[in-house]
Amino acid sequence: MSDRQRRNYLGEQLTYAMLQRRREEVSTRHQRAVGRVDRLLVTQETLGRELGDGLDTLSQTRGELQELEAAANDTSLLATLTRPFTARRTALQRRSVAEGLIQQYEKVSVRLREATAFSDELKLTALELQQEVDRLHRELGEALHNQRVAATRVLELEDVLAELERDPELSAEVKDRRRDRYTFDLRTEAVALDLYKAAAEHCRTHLPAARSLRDTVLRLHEDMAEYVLSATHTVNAAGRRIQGLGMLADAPVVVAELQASLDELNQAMQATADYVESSQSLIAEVLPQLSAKVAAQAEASAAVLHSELEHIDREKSRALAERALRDAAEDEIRDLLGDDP
Amino acid sequence: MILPPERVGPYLRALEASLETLAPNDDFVPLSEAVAHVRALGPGVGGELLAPAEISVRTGMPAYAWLERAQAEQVLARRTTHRHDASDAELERASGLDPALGKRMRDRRDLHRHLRRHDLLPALRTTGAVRRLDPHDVALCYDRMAPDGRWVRIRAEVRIVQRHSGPLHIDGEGRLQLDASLQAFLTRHFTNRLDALHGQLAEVCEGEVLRLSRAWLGPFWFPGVELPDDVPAELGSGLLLHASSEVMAADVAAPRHLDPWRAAPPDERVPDGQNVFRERRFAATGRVVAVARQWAEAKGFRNVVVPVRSTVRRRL
Repeated sequence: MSDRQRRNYLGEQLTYAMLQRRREEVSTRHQRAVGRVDRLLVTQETLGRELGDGLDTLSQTRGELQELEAAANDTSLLATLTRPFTARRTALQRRSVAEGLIQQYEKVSVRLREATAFSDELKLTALELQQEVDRLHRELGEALHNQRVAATRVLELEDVLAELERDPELSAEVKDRRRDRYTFDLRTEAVALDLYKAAAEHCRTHLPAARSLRDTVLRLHEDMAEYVLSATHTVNAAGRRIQGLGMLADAPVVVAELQASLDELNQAMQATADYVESSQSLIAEVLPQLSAKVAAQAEASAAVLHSELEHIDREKSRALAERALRDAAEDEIRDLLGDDP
Repeated sequence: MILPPERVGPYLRALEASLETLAPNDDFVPLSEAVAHVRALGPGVGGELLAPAEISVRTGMPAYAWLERAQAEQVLARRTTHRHDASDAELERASGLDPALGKRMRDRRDLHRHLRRHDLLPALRTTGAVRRLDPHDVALCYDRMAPDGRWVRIRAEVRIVQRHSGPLHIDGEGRLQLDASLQAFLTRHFTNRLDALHGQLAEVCEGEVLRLSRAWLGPFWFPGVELPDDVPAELGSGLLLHASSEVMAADVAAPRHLDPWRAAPPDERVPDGQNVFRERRFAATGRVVAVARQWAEAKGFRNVVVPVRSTVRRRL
C-alpha cells in the first residue's frame, strides 16, 4: 500500500475503540439533549402555572376596582349618613388601585423577562442540536468516502494478489514475501472497510433522532420568540398607560380607563396562557416519543457495532475470504456511486 | 420618548453625574440605589437587554417601564448565585454558534452579577422603625417612582400613644410592624399638599406627626424634554437635574423658602411649634449653569445651582 493511496482517507484512521467511543459520545449527547429538552419543557410548565396565578390575581384586582366604583357611587341614605364616621377606617381599608396595578405589572414583567431568557436558552439548544446534526452529516460523508477508498483498495489488493500468483518471473521466496505483505494489507483494509461501514450505519441511525430533537426545540423556540415579541409589545404599552394613569389611579373617574389597561394586561397574560397550553402537547406526546426513539436507536446502534465486532473477530480468525470480500466491495462501490450524499 | 441606542449611554452617564453632584441626603431616595439602578440600565452593564430606553417626555426621567425591567431582571438574578452563571467557555461556544446570542448571554451574565450585588430603587416601598419606646416615637419612610418619572421619598416621625395605633404596631420585642394599609394610604395621598398629608397621617396613625418631609429627584431637563410654560426655554438647552424637598417639623427653627420655581401654598396650615423649610437645588452643565443662576437670582435665590462635576464614578 503506497503512502499516496493512504492519504486518500479522510480524518483519523478509524479503530474499533474509536468507533465505540463515538457511539457512546453520540448516545450521551442525545440523552443529555433529551434531558435538557425535558427541563426546558418543565420550565415552560412552571411558567404556565405562574401565569395562571397571575391571571387569578388580575381577576381579583378587577373585582376590587368594581367594588371601589360601586362604593364611590353609593348614594344611599345609609351610606351618606355613615360616611363621616367611617372616614378614617375607610381611608386605611381602601386599597390603592395604583399599588395593585404596579404589583400586578411587576409580576407580569418578571415572567416576560423569564420568557425572554428562556427563549435564548431554547435558541442555544437548537443551535447545539443543529451542530450535532451537522456533525453526524459530516461523519457520515467521511465514513462513506473512506468506505469507498477501503473497498477500492481491497479490490486492488485482490488483483495484485492474483497477478502475483500468475507472475512466472518471480522467485518463490519473493512471491512468499509479497504475498504475506499483500495479505496483511488486504486484511487491514477489510477491517477498515467494515469499520467505515459500521460508522456510516451508526450516523444514519442517529440522524433521525438528532433531527427530531432539533425540530422539537426549534418549534419551542419559534413559538416562544413569537409570544415574547407580541407580549412584550402589549405589556410595554400597558406599562406606559399604567404609569400615566398612576397619579389619578385612585379617583373613580378613571376606573374605566384602568379597566382598559387591565384588559391589555389580561390579553398579554391570556396569550401566554394559550401559548403554554398549546405547548403542553410537547410534554404529553412529543417528549416520551422522542425519548423512546433515542433509546431505541442507541440500542440498535450498539447491536450493529456488536455484530460488526464479531464480524471483525471472525475475519481475524479466518484464513482468507478474499473472494467474498471482493464481491461485497464491488456491490458496495456500485451502491456508493449511486448513493453518495 | 424612546432614546436612540447611541444616546442611551450619554444620557445615563449625565443623569448619574448629576445625581452625584447633588449628593442628596437621607430625605431623598438612597443615592446608592439610584446610581446602581441607572448603571443597570446602561449599555456598559447589560448591553441592550433592557431596551427600549424609554424616558418621560415631561420630566426627562427614565420611564417606569424601563426602570421596572431592571427590577424584573433582578428578581431572576437573585433566584440564582454566581455559580449558575454561564462560564467563559460556554459563552465562547455560544458566540461561536451565534455571535448575537453569545453577546446577549454575556450581557445577561454581567447584568445579573450587577443586580445580585446592588439594591435598586423600588417602585414602592414602605419601611419603619421604632426611634424611642417611651414615648412611642416611630420613623416611617415611603419611597416611590412617581407616575411622572420623578423619584420621591416621604419621611415621617410620628409619636403614638398606644403600642397599637392605626396601621402601626410595636410588638413585644420593640419592633415596629406596619400594616399594608399604610402603604396603600400613602400611595393614594403622596402628592397631597404637605399640610394636608401631615393632617391625614396624624389621623390614620392616631398620633402626632413630629416631622414630615417629602423630597423629589427630578425633573431632568435637556434638549428634547418638554419644559413647563413657566420656565425659560433656555433651561432646557443643556442638562439640568432638580432636587427639591419640603420639611414640616419642630426642628425647623424658622420658615424658609429656597425654591425659585414653586411657591409655598398661601394658606398653608402649619401645626403650632413647627415650621416649613422648602428648597430646590439644581445640577447643571455648561451654559445652563449661568442661565439657571440668572433665573434663580432674578427671583431672589442664590447658591441653588451646582455645576455637574467631572465624570469620577462612584464606587458602589
